[in-house]
Amino acid sequence: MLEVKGLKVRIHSDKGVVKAVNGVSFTIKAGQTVGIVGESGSGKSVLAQSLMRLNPEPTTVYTEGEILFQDRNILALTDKEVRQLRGSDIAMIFQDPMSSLNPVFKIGDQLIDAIRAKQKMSRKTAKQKATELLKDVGISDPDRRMGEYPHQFSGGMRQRVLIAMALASKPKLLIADEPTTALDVTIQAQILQLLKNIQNKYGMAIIIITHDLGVVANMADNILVMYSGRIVEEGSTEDIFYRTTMPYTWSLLRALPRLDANDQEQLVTIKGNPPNLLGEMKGCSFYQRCPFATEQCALSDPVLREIGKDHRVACILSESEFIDQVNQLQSIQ
Amino acid sequence: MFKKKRNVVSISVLCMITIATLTASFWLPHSPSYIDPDFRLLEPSATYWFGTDDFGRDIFARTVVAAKVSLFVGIVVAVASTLLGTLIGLLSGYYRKADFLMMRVIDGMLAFPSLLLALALVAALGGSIVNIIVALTFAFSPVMARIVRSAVLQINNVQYIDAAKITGTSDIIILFRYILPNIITPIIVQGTFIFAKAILAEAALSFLGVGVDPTIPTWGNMLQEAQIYISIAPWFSIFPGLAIVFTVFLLNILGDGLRDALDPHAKKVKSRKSLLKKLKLAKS
Amino acid sequence: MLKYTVNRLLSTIPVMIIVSIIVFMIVHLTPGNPAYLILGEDSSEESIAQLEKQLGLDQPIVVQFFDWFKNVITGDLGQSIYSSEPVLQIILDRLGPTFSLMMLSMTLALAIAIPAAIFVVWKRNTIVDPLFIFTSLLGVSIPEFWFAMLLVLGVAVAIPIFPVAGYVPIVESVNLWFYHLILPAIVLATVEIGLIARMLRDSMLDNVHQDYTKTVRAQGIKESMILMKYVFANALIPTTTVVGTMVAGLLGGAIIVETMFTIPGIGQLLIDSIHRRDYPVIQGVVLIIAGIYFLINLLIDLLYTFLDPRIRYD
Repeated sequence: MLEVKGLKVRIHSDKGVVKAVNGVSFTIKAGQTVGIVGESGSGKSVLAQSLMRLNPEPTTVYTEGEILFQDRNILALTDKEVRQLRGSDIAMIFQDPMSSLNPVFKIGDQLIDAIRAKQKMSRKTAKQKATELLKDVGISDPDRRMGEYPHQFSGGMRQRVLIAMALASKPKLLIADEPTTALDVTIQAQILQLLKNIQNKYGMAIIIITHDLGVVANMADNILVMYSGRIVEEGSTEDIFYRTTMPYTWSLLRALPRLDANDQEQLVTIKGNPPNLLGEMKGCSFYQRCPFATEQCALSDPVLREIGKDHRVACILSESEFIDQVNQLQSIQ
Repeated sequence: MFKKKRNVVSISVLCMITIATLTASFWLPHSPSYIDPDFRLLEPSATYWFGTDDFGRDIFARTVVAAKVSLFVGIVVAVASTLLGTLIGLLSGYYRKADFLMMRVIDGMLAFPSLLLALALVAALGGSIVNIIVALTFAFSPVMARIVRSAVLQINNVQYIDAAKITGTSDIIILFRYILPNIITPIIVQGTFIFAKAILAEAALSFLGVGVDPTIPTWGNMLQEAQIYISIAPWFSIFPGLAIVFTVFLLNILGDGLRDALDPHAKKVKSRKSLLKKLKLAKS
Repeated sequence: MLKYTVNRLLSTIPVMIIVSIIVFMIVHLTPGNPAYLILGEDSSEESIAQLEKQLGLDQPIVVQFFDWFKNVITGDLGQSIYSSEPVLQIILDRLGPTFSLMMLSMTLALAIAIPAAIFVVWKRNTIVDPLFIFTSLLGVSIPEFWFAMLLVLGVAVAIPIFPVAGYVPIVESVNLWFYHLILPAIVLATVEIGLIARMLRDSMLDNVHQDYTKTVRAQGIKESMILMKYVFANALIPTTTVVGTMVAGLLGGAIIVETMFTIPGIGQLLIDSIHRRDYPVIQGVVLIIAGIYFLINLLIDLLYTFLDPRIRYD
């Protein structure tokens, strides 16, 4: 349904040209859930917004590649065609529910506007539809709450409203950009559960963008791990969690808090910061932070290679070399 | 702050105007006060670039000389109301107890449109350059005080101010070493705008006949004289007016440019613009 | 919200006292004896004494203030020295033209500034924006009286369509009223257009990149609709306070414009009274203008709370 081929995105800023996305390719099938995981600054949000061409123009330039949605290249569409696509075929929810709703309009009016933006119908019908949508996302007493303003809603409730808006015209693909980051932990689980439920009911594909592997662990069929604007590992959720041979993914997993960890074990952080996307890149982009880096890593730029069925990794270490390295490191600690 | 070409240009031109008017007696082709009834209301020509006025005086010479008074009033009012307003704003924002009384006085003064307050004061004090400066300073300081106060209030909660207070740093040092440098941007910007407004206000007061002594050439006085000749000698009105617009415009450009150059938030907008320019160049 | 309104109303009391003191001081700031000043140096002792008594100048200043203040509260602003009529009546007779002029200029200014600002934000990535900044800065750099002179020269003298002087009350003839006021209103509006359009633009640009705009953009709503409805609604709230500044500009400008176009409003009255040294009238006009300005700002503040649901429901 969605196929991204060799996408490169450049963002012009006052400090220079940011190489935000550097040759990303992946495919999403209808009804699938895909997690895109990476640290902040890995280009995952730019990638997500590229899928709807939402990055602010004209400072964003799509230099190479294609984004094929139902065989149409989104990057080649006119502004009007993109607008028709937005909301109806592809919808998106954003990180911060507190600021993503317009503070001066009633929830109901914003929802009705969202519905009527895509479907011709009377206000009255739209209002009925809005009520149903709010019920679907688990907001009780929707008729009363539609007359309220965003500031009268809690963060979780607002995210529900935003999800309802995104569902307004039954999209085939829902992009959720860090949908739970700004929320309390208990609310996070509720929102993720809600996303699962609506996927069952509406049957759309979902892309979840997150920095937190834990968020996608129970949700995603497939996971893409992004680092400095590239995909460094892709595979099924099981592949990523149990069979990773990519040092970066491995580091991310080690940084996750675990219930089964014993008291002596410390959480491991990844040293240093993600590379600056402004400069020239040489060698493997994770080289400077990689616990297993060799001299060769500074020179070669690893490409994704298949190591299992639909499991691809961008690292020069072979599976056995990787396991040796991990064992070596753990024996030292 | 001098990085921007626009700021450099406006400051240079303003300096040139100042130098030109201060040295006027050395280079002007005609005396600004020489009366010649035979040359009344002459059109602009090679001899009289801006024409002559109802007394046969050279309008160009008078326009140049008039800049002296206008700029003098403008700069003194700008500096005086900046100092006064900043002081009140600092004290009011820092000493919360004094704030209530001071802000009510400021609110009371702000209840008058500034031109009205200036008019009322000039009406009471009588029109002289000193009185006009006093009146305009009173009219413009309240706005400055408000701006400084709200800037102080914002910064007063910042932790390094708390830290300084806890370690027993004296109030004077906190106010002038820690707070003032951090709020200097809005002060400079507002000061520039007051400069511009003061020139306009002085011209308006003189034009209304309650300003500077009508025998002293100022732009406002010249326009007051020119008013009745507007249809037979339009140049008499046009050139002094253009002088006001030009000077005030330069100051406004400067104020705007300084705000962009000094304010990190506005800077983003600016650089976006230069960025767009680069993008366009790259495309073509 | 009720609490806010009450607080806001209470906070006006000290301000009004300060305003009264300032207005009262107008006469007493004058160097020398105000009675001499009014009547002239060579007037007789008796007439001076009589005027002193009439103005209450023989009393201690605090007593004078309280007497004056008491009168002001009861609506007695004293008598004109020039015409001996009650000041309040003189001013009330002159309010109509000033009010008409202000309403017309304000309508004109808003009708041009709002679409202009929306257009500029819509075309923000083009040459339109720097051009707009340039024009609005130029607009606020033009002295009203000079612009009026040029307009008189250009429109009224060269192409004599509109009158350059006079005023007809709206109750007599709407057409003539408009016909006489349009030139002065254009003059008054010009400076304000630059100011409001600029503030609206800045405020809208702040909103253009907010998250909620992204939300509606992701819904496929048209950019022009996003600007006109969503961004504008949010930009409008801070801009209401601008209207307050605008009223100050209009009131100040009215003084000049009325004098130039001989419109019998309170601005012209003020200037005439200053030339006549008719201090009670000067005080009265200054007090009334400050009062109007103050009242409008109060209304705007209350409107502000009404427009912003975040305050309205707290």
